[in-house]
Amino acid sequence: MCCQCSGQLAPADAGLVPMDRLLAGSRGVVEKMELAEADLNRLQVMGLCPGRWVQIIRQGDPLIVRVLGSQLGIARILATFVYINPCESE
Amino acid sequence: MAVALPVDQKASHRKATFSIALVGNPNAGKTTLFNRLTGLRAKTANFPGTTIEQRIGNIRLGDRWAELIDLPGLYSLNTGNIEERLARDVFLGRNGLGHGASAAIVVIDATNLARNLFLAGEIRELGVPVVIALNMIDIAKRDGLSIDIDALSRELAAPVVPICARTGEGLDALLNKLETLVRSGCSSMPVPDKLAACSNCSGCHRHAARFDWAEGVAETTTRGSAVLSSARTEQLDRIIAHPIAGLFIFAAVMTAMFIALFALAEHPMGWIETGVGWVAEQAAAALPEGDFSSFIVDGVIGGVGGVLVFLPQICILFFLLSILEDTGYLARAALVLDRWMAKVGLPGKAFVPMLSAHACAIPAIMSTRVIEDRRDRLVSILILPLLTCSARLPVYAMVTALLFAGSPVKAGLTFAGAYGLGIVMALVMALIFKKSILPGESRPLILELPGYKLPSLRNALLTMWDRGLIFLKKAGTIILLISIILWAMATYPKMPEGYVEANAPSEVVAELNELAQAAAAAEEAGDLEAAEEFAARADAITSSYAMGYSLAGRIGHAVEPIFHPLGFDWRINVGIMTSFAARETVVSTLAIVYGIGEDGAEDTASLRDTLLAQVKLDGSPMFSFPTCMALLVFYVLAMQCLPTQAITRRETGSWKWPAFQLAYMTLLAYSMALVTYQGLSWLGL
Repeated sequence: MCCQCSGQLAPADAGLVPMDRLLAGSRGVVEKMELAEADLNRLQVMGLCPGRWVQIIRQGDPLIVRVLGSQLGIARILATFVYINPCESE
Repeated sequence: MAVALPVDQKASHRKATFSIALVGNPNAGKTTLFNRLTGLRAKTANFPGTTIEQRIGNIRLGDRWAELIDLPGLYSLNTGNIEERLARDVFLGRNGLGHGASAAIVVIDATNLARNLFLAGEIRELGVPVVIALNMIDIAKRDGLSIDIDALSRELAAPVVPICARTGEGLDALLNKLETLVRSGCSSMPVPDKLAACSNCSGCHRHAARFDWAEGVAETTTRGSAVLSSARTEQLDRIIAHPIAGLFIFAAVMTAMFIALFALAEHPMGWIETGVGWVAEQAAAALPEGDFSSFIVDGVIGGVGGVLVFLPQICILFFLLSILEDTGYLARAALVLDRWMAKVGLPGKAFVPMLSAHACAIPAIMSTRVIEDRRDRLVSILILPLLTCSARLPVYAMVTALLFAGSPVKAGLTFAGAYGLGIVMALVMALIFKKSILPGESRPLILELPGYKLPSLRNALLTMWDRGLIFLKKAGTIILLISIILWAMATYPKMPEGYVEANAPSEVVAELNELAQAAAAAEEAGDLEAAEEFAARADAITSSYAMGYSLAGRIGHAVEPIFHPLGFDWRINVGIMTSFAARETVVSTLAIVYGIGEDGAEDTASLRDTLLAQVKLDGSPMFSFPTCMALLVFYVLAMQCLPTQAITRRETGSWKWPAFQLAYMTLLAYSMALVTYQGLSWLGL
């Protein structure tokens, strides 16, 4: 299920990309979430949580991501504040 | 389907001495399992002091009965939202039952182990004895996943039973394990060290440790990967969840659903109408003519019939929605519509209730429970009755028949206009409410898209049964009460003997005399049929005066100054008043007050001719174009439906909201009808 490229992640914040800017099909690790407590809680208990792998299924508003084996539809406004450390090309 | 005998049911309630909580992620198949285990023994109520539904049913464990409490679908126990607090209360015995759940069944989805184990881990940490129901094991197997049950059981330090709630496979084993647990006294279960470490890890990011644990357990216990099924879901979603194509699919699915709804409900509604008519006839024949007979036939049987006739639509709508939800489609519909609904400040999930409201506002209001945010849900409930439900159709049909009998195109446009007015006003009011009394951004969408699945017929049937019962209990009693009150208002005080002769214009008195003579002559000639017809016509004219003399008629006269600017006379006012409980009643009331008798309402042509022949004091037609249009606008927007109000009360938990709903809709209907009448009159139409 998980991406095969662990170990190739950039260490610093410099490489972080907001989730709504990633291409469909790309994967990465959630690094930072700058959201209000309520939204943060809702996302995190569904698995979109720092340290978890996420794959973008479809970009748009709402966008669809896959995390922990389930698919989530997420409003773009939230995705903008979820920062991903993207995985190098596969 | 297992049907519990009533005796059995009673006994089980007495014997249930302890409770078991059923808990799991949304979409893990919790409801399906609950339905499997409890069948028709389940009862639906609200958690004390909330509008969150709790379903409770009794299950048999060996020789004892236990109460199974279906908790709301949860992703976690610890973020502090209201559903999670309620679940914790059930575990800790603060749920008003006086005792906490002695044990829990934790439902986890075998095809999505890691995510589901997160919640299972949290529950395990409470130390409550649990049995893990590893659901959808059939789908997991089909997708080539094999799960090491023993290993999973070791990791969780709790019994794990693979089941398939949809087919019922593995349920016996589950109940056996539960029985063993109960027999051993439900002592608390020790928490495995690895799990206990999750909440003690102070240095790491919150949730991270537990997710690591869950993912680790899932990885070590599962062989194969769910890539296959997720690839299929993704492929389907490429079209179904597509921002544009998805809208077309949504339109197609909903059109099909409505066609099916109306087609399926048509015959049962006809049977109910015929059945109620037959009962009324029998009662009328059996009872001596008089007030009591009228009370039973028009008040009670008429009232019951008015409730029952909506039952097929409500049941079938819930049946179809349950099927759609089970397949996973409703989540996609909410997804593709979210962006559009956000423009009026409502979430995508509000759209399905809005569509359902075009059949009936009652199931629509009940189905707003899917909307998480309280304000969003309240706004939706407030606006749903503005949408054209099927009870408005007889009124629309009457008005269009009055205005455009010979022109199907104009009649069709008027119908479409009425629907459109309802939709536009609903959206406008939603926007206004979101900006005024219930302010706040709607919560941005976060929605799980479950894998596509075969629906469960059993779920759909039980949902239908459950919702139908709620409708009959909550709406039935109120509408019955109100129809009796309305019947009394339209019957008392009784017109004294000779009232018509003393008060009616001379030509009416003459007509009555002629009819009486004609009836007598026909009877003498042996033509009983003709005699009856003459007598019925005379009766119809007298009834119209009786209605005018009654309390309803007097109020109709009294409020004439208020409704005169809308072009309504006292007779239309009586129609509005008596249709307060159910709007379609206005057609039969108008038939009575305009003196063609109640049966005349079924004959559209004669009703139309009679209404069109009515003139005002100045000789101009009563049902002029502006008056008809004002009447139509009024009925599009006015509340005029007590069952809906009863359901609004149930779903909002207070009478404040139905009162507000009634007030704003009546005000809106009045002002829009006023604008319509005055505007059209000014234009000289």
